[in-house]
Amino acid sequence: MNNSEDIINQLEKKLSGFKINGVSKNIGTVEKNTDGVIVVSGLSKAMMAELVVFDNGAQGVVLNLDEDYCSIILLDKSTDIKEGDTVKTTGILLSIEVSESLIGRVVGTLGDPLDGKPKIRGGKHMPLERIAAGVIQREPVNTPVKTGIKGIDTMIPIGRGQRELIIGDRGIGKTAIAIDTIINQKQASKVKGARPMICVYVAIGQKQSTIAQVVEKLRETGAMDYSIVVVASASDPAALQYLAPYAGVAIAEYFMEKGQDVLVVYDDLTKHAWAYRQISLVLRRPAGREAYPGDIFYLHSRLLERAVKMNKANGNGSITALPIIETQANDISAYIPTNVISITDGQIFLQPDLFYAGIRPAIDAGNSVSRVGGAAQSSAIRSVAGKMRLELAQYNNLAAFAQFGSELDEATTRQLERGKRTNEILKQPQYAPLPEPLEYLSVWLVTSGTLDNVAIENISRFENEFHDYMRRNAQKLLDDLSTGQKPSEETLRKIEKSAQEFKKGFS
Amino acid sequence: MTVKQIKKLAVASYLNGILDAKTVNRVAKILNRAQLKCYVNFLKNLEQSKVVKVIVSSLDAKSKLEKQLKARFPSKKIEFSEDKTLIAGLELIDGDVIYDFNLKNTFENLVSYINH
Repeated sequence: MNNSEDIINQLEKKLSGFKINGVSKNIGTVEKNTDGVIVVSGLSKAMMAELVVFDNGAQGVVLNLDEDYCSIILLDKSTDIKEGDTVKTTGILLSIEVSESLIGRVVGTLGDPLDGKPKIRGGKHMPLERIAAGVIQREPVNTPVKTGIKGIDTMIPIGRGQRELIIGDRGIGKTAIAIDTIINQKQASKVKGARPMICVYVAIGQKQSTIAQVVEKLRETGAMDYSIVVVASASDPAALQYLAPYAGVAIAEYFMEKGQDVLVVYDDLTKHAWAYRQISLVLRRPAGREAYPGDIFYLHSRLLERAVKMNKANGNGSITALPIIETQANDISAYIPTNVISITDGQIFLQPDLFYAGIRPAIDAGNSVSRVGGAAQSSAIRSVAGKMRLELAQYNNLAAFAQFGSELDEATTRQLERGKRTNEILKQPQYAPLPEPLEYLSVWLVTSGTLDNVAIENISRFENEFHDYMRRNAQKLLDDLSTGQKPSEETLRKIEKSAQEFKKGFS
Repeated sequence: MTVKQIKKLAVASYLNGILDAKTVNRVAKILNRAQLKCYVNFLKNLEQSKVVKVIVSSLDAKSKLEKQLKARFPSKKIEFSEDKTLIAGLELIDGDVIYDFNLKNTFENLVSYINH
């Protein structure tokens, strides 16, 4: 059968499906337009979160249902909606069209392309609002998400299906951690037996220039091959900023339903809360603490609850969420930060003091925690991470006292020196995530005492050159370490031997 | 005066299902501009709910159709109007609900299906 016959047959089939009793539409009349929030009379059959269409083709979503009126938020920048205009219901709940062809694209909240490429058609409609998977469909977190950042993979491991908050002041590397994690999925997926991850980056209320930089970096590093960027920039209406993270998770759910693992970054939920506060105030909902509406907790909990690790019977897919929260003057006890801390399964807390002292990523190991990720950490990393964390904690305690005393005993001096080297080894440049075997080697170098007699200023160079040395001379060893199994005595002896040989030649 | 109270006034302005001019005049005197606007809107809505508007492509079969619709909406007034652009069939407006039983709507649906 040729193509045109095919099309005609399809249309005939559709024609036969048209019912004689026609279609019913519900209409309303615009009463008021306040800053993108429209009050409409009529629409007695409208549903919550239903898509409605105005006379001029503009779309909106029903957000309030009163006895005689409905409040609708506009989904575009239309300004020509006036009193008396007609609104029609569509019977469709707000959804986004998702398909495999969305990978590598930069789209708006409703799936409209922002990268100059054609519109994505023919995908599955995924609802933006959806009840999260239940207890029976889930299983505990058991597979790691490798971020490629030594400080995180060793001390605050993240598992697939976990919600790990990245929190800190502005400009101290929150987005950098998320972007590094996305970039690292390229090398993490190359490891034998590893499941690749689809990454969704949701930019909420950010400057267009910042978003362009992120997209460019992802493109440059080849990360766009498995990533989708959802954008609701600062110039977009508050309604689109409010809906953007839900669009991101709806996209993630499409891939998760197919049994794939997805990483979603919400950058950031502070601006998301601001957008929702703006909408709520215009909707005249009662304002609570810091003028946020009463359901601000539910706004984030229903979003983050959609992060999930499904069990085998339900496809075995997962959604890992990395929400970002921006604090003001390092205050993590503010309203939104405490809300999101209590919702998530741990947080990576970034300290401005550490950042300006040159410790980057500026992770505050004392306040950072991963509540479920430990179960997903590989045995190899776990075998060295525990010792390192302990040494770092001892160093932090001693360092506070050491500044008062002039003479210290030998053991204390040794601990302090080890701590300084541990801090030094945890430094890592941006956009340079490390594969797990090299992370293991770095941590092993410091915990085994190999670096004890290397000058602190040479540690970074020592580490980089040792990695190169091992790549050149001990690839087999690195392959063994990449399995994630705890290294055998023999492997440890080989690492020790290689380190001593390298050290002899290091100057 | 709250919106709910104005709504009650609008309902009370009807005497045996007919809008009472005397009551309306009395109510109108005590309302300010915004309240009056709200009152008029409620009256319009109440009036609208008592009428079913029927738009047909041709008025030829009006009497037959009127009989059927009277049986379907016994307590409502049926108002007919003609619109040739419907091609065939009719459109029924009952309050804020529109029922499309016409060829124009079928074609529009087909166009939207092809576009998608």
